[in-house]
Amino acid sequence: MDKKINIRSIDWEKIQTEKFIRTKRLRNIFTITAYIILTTWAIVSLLPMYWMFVCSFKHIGVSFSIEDIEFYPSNPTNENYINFLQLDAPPWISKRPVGRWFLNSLLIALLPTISNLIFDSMAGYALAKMRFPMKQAIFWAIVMTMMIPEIVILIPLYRMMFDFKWYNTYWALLFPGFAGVGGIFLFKQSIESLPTSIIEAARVDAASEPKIFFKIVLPLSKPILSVMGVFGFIGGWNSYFWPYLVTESNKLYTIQVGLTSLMGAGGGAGVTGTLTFGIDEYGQMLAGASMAAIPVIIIFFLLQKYIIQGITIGALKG
Amino acid sequence: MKVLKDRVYSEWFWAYVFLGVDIAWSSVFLFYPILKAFIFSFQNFTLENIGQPTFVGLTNYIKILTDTTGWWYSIKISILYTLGVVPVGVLLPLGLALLINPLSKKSQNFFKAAFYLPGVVSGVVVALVLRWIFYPEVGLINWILIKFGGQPQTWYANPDLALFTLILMSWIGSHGWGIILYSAALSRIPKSIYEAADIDAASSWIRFWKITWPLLRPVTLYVVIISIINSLQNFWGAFFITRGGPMRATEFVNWRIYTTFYMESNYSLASAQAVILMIIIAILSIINFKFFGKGVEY
Repeated sequence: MDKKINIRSIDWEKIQTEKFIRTKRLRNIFTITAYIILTTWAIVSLLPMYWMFVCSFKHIGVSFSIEDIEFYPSNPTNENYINFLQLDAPPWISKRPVGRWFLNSLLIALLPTISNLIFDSMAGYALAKMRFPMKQAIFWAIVMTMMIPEIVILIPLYRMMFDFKWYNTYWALLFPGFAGVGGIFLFKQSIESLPTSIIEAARVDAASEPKIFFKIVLPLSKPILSVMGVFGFIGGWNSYFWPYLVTESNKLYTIQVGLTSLMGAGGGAGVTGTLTFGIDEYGQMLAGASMAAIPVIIIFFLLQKYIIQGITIGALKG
Repeated sequence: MKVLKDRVYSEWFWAYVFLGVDIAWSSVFLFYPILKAFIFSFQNFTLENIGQPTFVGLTNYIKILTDTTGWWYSIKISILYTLGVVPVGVLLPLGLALLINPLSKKSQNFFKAAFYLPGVVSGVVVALVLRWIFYPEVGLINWILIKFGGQPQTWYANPDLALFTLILMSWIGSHGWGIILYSAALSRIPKSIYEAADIDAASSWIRFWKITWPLLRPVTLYVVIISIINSLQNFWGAFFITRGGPMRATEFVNWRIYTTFYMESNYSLASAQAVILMIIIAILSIINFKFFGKGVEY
C-alpha cells in the first residue's frame, strides 16, 4: 500500500514554479534571438539607403578603388551635390534644370493625388452605400481592369498622346492620371464599414446625396483619405515609366526621369542599350538619388502611421 | 408612392453623377486603351505605317508563340526570376513577422518602420544604389566578400551571374510590405485559440502548423499572387542596370515588350505580347485562387 503515491505529498507549487522558470527562460532566449535576427535584417534592409547617403558625401573619382571603402565619410565633401546641381558650371553652359525637375515631380505627386481623392471617394461612396442599376457590373469592371498589366494600357495610351498632340507637354504628364479606378476599390471597402444607419437617417430627413457625401461620409473618411493621400503622393513622386515615355525635352522631366537621363538609361539615350556612365559620375548620381529620396523618406517618418495602416487595407478584411 | 419613386430615381441619378467623372476618365484613358491594345494586336501598326495600319489577323500572335529563341526565352527568364524571388518574398516576411509579433508595441513599430523604409524610395533610386553596391570594381558586396576571404565577382556584368544578382537584389530589397501584412494578420488571430492549444499542451511546432499557418492562408494567398504578378512583370533591373544583357541573360518578358514597343516602335507586336502576358498572369492568378483560395473564417 505504501507504494501508492500520496497525491497530497506532491509539491505542486514547486512543479509550477519550475515550469514557470523554464518557460520564462525559453521565452528570454527566444526574445534575444528574435532581436538579434531582426536587428541584423534591419541593418541589411537599411544599408542601401545608408550607403547612398554616405557615398554621396565621398569623393568618388576614377582612381576610387575597393580599398577606399569606409562606412562613414572620413573627409566629407559636398562636391557631388555641387556637380549634380551644376552650381560651379560656367555660365555659357546650358545647365540641366534640376529645380524644374523637382517642381515637376511635386506637380505629378500633388495634382493627380488631390483630384483622385475627390473623384475616387465619390465613386467609392456610390458603390458602397447607394443602390442603382448596373452596380455589380460597374464594380466588377473596375476590379478586372485593376488586374490588367500596365504595359497593355501604356502602349495605346502612348500613341494616343501623339493623336491628341499632347506628347511632350504637361497635358500628357498629368492629365491621364487625374481620375481613374485605382483608388475606388479601397474607398469602397472603407466607406462600406461606415454605419449605414446614419446615412439612411439623413436620407429620411430628405438630405440630398451630395450633402450626405460632403457632410457625413467625407468627415468620417479622414483615415482612408489620409492613407490614400500619402500613397498617392509617394506613388506620384516615384512614378517613372509614364513620365519617361511622354517627355522629351528636359524641362518636362521629373527628378526620377532626370536622374536616369544622366544614367544613359532613359531620356532618349536608351536606344544604345548600355549604361553610359562610369565610376567618376557615380558621386553626383548618388547625390541626385539622395535628393530624390529625401522628400519621401521625410514623409515616411512623419506619416508612418498612415502608410502602415494603408498597406493592410484591401488585403485584410475588416 | 410618388415621393418614394422620386427618391429612388434621385439615388440613381446621384450615384451615376458620383461615378461619372471616374468612369468618363477611365473610358478615355483606361478602357479605350485596353480595347485599342486588342485592336493593335491584330494589326501591323509600326512607326512606318502610322495612320494606315491594316488588319493582319493572328499573324502577330503566331509570330510570338512560335518564337522560341525570343518570346519563350524571355518567358523562361521571367519564370526563373519569379521562382527565385517569390519563395523568399513570402517566407522571409512570414518569418520576420513571426519574430516581431511577440515583441512590445514599441519594438514592433521600430522594426516595421526599418523594414518598410526602403519600400517608399523610388525604383530608380534603389536600382542606382544597388548597382553601386554590386559594382564589380568597387562594390560594397565585393568588399565584404574579400574581407571574408571570398573571391570578388563581376555580378550583373557576368552573363552567368546577372539574373542571380537581380534576384539577390530583390532579396535585399524591401520586404516591409509582406512583413506588415503578415504581422497585421498575426495580431488578428484571437488569443483564445492559442490558449485552447496550451491546455492540450501542443508544442509550438504543432501550434504553428495547426493554427497559425492555416489561419494565415488568406494573407499568404494575397502575398503569393501579388508577388507572382509583380515578378513576372518585373524589369526594373533590366531597365536600370543590365539593359537585358549581358549576353541576353536578363531579357525579361517586360523588357522584350518594352524594346519591341519603344525601341523598335512595333506597336502591334508589342501589344500582342502584352496581351499574351496578361493572359498568362490571369491563368496563374486563377490557379492560385483554386489552390489556396479556400475561405478561412476566424
